[in-house]
Amino acid sequence: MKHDYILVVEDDDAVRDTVVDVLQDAEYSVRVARDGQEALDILRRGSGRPCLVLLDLMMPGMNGWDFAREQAGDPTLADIPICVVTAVGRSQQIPQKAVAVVRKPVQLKRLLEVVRQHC
Amino acid sequence: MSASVPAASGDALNGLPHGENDRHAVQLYEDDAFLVGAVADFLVRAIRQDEPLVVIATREHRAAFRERLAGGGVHVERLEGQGGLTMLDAAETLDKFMVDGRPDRRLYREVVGGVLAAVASKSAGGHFCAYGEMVDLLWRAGNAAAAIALEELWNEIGNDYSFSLLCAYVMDNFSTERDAHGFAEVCRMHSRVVPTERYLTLQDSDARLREISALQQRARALESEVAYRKEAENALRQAVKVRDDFLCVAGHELRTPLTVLRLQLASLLASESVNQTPRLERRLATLAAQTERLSRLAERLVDASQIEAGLVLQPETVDLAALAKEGVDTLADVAAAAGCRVTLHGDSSVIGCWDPDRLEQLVQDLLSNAFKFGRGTDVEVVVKGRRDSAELIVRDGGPGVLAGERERVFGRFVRVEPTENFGGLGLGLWIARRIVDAHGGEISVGSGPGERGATFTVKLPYAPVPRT
Repeated sequence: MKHDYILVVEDDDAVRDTVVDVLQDAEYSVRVARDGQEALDILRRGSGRPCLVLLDLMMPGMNGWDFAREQAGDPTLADIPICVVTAVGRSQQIPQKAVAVVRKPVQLKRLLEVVRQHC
Repeated sequence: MSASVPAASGDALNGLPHGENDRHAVQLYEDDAFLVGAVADFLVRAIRQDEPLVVIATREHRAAFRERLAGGGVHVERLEGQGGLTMLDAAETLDKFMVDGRPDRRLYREVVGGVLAAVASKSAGGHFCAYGEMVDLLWRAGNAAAAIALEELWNEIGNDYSFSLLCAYVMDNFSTERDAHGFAEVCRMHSRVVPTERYLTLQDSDARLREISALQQRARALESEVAYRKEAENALRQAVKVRDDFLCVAGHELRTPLTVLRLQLASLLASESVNQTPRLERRLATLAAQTERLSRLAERLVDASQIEAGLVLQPETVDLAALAKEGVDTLADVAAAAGCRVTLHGDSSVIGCWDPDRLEQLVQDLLSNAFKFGRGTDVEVVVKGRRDSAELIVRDGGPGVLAGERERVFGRFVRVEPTENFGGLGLGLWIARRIVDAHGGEISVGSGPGERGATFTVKLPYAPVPRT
């Protein structure tokens, strides 16, 4: 298993489980959150530190934009890289600090490329 | 002042100022020649009553008034020399008191008040007449608010001097339904409103009543027509919104399960156990290919809805040649599956300021189109940096596009080929054109060498030029 973990923040169960499957197939350690608040709780209370957050934007509860804003405003979390994984259109704003954007429907090759760059 | 004064020409009839109602009258007109006659009559009446005059008009109108007065026997120069007639240029006078697009009250009272005071001093009885076109100039320039403000200033200064003021507006200023409110304001500002020559030329009071009735009927018919069209426009806008909202939601909802399908199939196809089972691998590959096809259709639908809502570019420095190469590389598998051999020619680097995501989409749309319709043929991609624009050409050896269809092929949901022969929604080229248009460029299709195949040519200015 590689060091650290990847935090997958996604409300859709099937998408989340699939992303976990493919990351684990590639031997990454993975934790999951169903929305932005759960993700913040994991980051603040959990042990270890993710090498990357794969962040969906449209989620009930705290959405991806609000999570990104909170994370950027917290000095203990601000340097964790975020890759946005989203189905929103090109006209929608992507959080400025995202290191990459992977648009749904996700291509495995593209997803793994981004993950390899940061983990 | 003494002058030989002609009889009134009779061009303007009972609408001319006389009495208390004439403090501030407005002459509406359609034809310039009619206006000149009406104003000349106004001037002649004042001359006959020995009342000094001030005329603030355009150069052309001042020349026309002088000619009419002279033609009627008025010694215009003598009258001006004696102070009985003061002529000023409307635009120049306006410039002296306009500040930031509005008439400045203090400057107006200084400039116009000064002129009026000088004219008033020439009047034995203290009363004089004035004709002005500054308000019309403002209205014609699209500054209705300033015109109304200036009318208010004229009314205010009318309390300080005893004079009859005539101004004029060309009826064209009020030619749309949107002008109704402005027109009502103009009428409200005046003590007397004189209609255009179309009404004034009617001599008979019965004829005038018939004309008024006809105008009322036309106004009622127009109001109904406008109301009907507004309703139809609202219904259409609502229908378009419903369609666009649906497309947006549908697209978003399609992408979610497609993500699962794509990732799971790609992951399975990469697994060793599947690789060792050719039959299973082939079936999974078929599923993956159809998933890709579904993905492309979903993308087209979502894109079409977003482009319809308004295409916003995010330009940056882009190398079109590098982007074209990347597109060819990305779709290498699709080209291979279509049996197309792809060659890339032209300049090694063509730099411009474009939206990279949209150009990537454009390149891939044109390539996908070439692989689909030029199946089994050679596909050529050329990128050139010309003097005024960058050029991208994608050429295939397929059936081509008939000359009569070369414009229609860029229409939305248009498919110029038989639907049973080729799949797709008919959105790819429409999207391509919208992207090119947003950059201020051009896209066209012609035939290939020897009149075979299709050649799509895109010309892009080196920075986006917004279309008005």
